[in-house]
Amino acid sequence: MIEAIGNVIAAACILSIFSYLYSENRAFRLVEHLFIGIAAGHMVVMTIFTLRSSLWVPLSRGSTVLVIPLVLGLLLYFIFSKKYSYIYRLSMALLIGVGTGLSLRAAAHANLAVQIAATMTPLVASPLDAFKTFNNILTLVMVVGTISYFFFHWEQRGILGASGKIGRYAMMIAFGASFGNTVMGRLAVLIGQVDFLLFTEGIYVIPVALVCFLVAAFYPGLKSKKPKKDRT
Amino acid sequence: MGAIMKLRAIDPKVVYLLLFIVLAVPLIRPIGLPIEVSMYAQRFYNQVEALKPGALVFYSLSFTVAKTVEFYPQMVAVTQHLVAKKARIVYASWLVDNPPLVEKLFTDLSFEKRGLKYGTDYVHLGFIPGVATGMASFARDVHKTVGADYGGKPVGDLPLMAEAKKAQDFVLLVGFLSINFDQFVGQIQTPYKLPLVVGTDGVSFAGMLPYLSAGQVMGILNSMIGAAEYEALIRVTGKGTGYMDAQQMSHFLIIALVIVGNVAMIMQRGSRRESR
Repeated sequence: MIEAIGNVIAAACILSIFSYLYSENRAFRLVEHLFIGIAAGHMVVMTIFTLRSSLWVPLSRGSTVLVIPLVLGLLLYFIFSKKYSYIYRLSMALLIGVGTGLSLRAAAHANLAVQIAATMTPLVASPLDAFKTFNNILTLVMVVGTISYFFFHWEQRGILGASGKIGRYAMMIAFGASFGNTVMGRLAVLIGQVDFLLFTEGIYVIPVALVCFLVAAFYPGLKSKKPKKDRT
Repeated sequence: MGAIMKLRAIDPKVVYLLLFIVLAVPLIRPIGLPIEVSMYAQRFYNQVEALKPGALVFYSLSFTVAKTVEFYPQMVAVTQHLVAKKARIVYASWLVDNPPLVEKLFTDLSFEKRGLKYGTDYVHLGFIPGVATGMASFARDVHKTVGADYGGKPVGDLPLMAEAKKAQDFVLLVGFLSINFDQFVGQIQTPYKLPLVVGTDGVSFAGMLPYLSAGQVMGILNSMIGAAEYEALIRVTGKGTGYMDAQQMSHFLIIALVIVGNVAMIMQRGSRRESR
């Protein structure tokens, strides 16, 4: 029973969001605000769970060293004090320093060095494989072309112009593949919602939504007014 | 000709309605269009298939809740395969959105009814904060990073976690990642040279392919089609397969609209030249 009520509410929310495709309205805005509120609430609960698992349980089992991150975390709240706000910078500096150091390590090794090494493949595949050889040559041509497209010091003419053109086409193919996958992903999300509307208790909400839609279409007074312009 | 020209000025709301119909009809009455298993899904399957009974697998998630439709069918299919291979699984999330989904997975796949024991066969660690910092710390020392599981039970009290102390203890990394993928590869996969298979969304798929070529990723599932392919490989009919007709029909509609739009544009150009 609770699940059925949940499905009806979820379907009403989905249809309210979809109603934006017709025009902006109060139902859409209500659900938009609800979503933000629920997301914030969920975040608070998950933070409490995390504090329990990463701090409270180990601390109660004798991991006193965790007092240090606890104090550093509490120092962050000094940002709300005008007089002592500089104190929060200690924790912030540590957070940024560690975060940057770790991210750079990952970027330099896993996302750059390994990727470059993977690009440096022998042109003729061994054992001889025509498709693999063609692929390796294509990789070389496209990588060199794409990098040369970003040489801004010289004008893109002659060999550099031709190479840059190959690079531009390579990027267009890559962006096309990426865009195609994006469209597929977005449609998948839509299919999930349509499936939910058709095959759960949510189907009972569709006629109600249609009536609301018709009333709104023939009685424009129900449409929400445009939000006032911010004068600040 | 006039009709095609008129299509250029079509109201987008008509396209939305058309798309809804094209999606709804195959969902109500499936057509059964064929699905070809890609090399990426096959390689993912091969990695899981090669697991020995009792193998320790780290199963992590990082995607926003809006992408659930793309990820969840993949998660169901892969988990079914892992359970069939008798793998022992440690679940964790790098984003706050994901832990409730893991719990839903346990319920939907009836873990308890299948005889899987929490703490021995699987563990849910919940959300691990910090992204890069959390990942690096987890890889080095799991117990120091996560003191308790999602339910608040100390990890030291869970028998499975006695064997999962650091990244190298895991035989396979299974990731359902879109956000933080590069950090995951950088902090856990590459430094410890662990095999990684990834389920991802359509937006992130193309960006992950270089990692496949470099050998950092062993197999990829791409969005809902990835789930359908995996279901075909494990011979299960799930949500992924059910959605494929609708997905393919919507692609036909988009291609048709692109063609009609371009033909109309070319015709309009031609008629303008003639009038000049």
